[in-house]
Amino acid sequence: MNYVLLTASILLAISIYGILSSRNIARILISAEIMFNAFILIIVGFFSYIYSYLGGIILTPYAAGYISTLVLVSILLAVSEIVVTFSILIALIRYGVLKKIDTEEKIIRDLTMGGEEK
Amino acid sequence: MKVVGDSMGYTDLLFISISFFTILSGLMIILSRNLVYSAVYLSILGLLVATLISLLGLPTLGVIHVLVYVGAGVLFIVMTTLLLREEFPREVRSLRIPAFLVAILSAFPLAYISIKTENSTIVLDKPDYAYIAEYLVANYSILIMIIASVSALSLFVSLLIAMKRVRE
Repeated sequence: MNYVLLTASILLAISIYGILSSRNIARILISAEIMFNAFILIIVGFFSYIYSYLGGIILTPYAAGYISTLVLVSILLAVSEIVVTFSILIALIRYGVLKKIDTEEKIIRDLTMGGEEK
Repeated sequence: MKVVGDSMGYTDLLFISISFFTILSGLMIILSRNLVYSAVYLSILGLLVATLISLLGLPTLGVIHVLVYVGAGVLFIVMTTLLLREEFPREVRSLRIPAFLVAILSAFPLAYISIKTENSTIVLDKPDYAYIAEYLVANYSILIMIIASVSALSLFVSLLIAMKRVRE
């Protein structure tokens, strides 16, 4: 059994549940970060599986460099994404624009009554 | 999990225990009532993922994950949530059961693949940072400079956004 991929799949399920079930924008962003960690594990886990499938041979420098660079760039992009999205979140909260995303009740009300509160 | 040229036991136990704590910290992130605790659990998750990456044979990437992702990114989230003094209560939608079903269905193919496959610790003839450096310098030297500039610019712009005063 591939424990790393199994862990990644469970983390993926946790993050999808967190994104879909939460009403709070900050919690949704943090759930998205769990998904990022799962994807890093998926990349490394598949690389390890391919390595195992090939019988543990010495990899070409191109293959090893390609996969390692892919993981490295993913980590750096994720950090940039964290910083930018949380900065936008701070700005939105300080302006008082956004605290919660719309609830499904409000979405249904918008769709059925044109946004009028009863 | 099979280590090349080694019979198993100890490594299996190590992987299972670290995977268990990784899943536990992932669960605690979405179950914590306070967002600060969620951010702290996210940092623990990052450390455990870095440990798994290192155990798979790529220690340099594990160190970069700890230094850059946990040290900079997640710490930024922790400080942000601490300094905002806003309450982010855990409010759950009424769509919990459909969300649970979607999560299970999305993760099922990967879980099936993980049960059917094996993997091993990667053994490289050089340290992994040597591979990364060779690959990047040979193929993407100009692109790396552009990415570094854009990253620095994004950090600067995000600081400007965060420090912008609220208009009266």
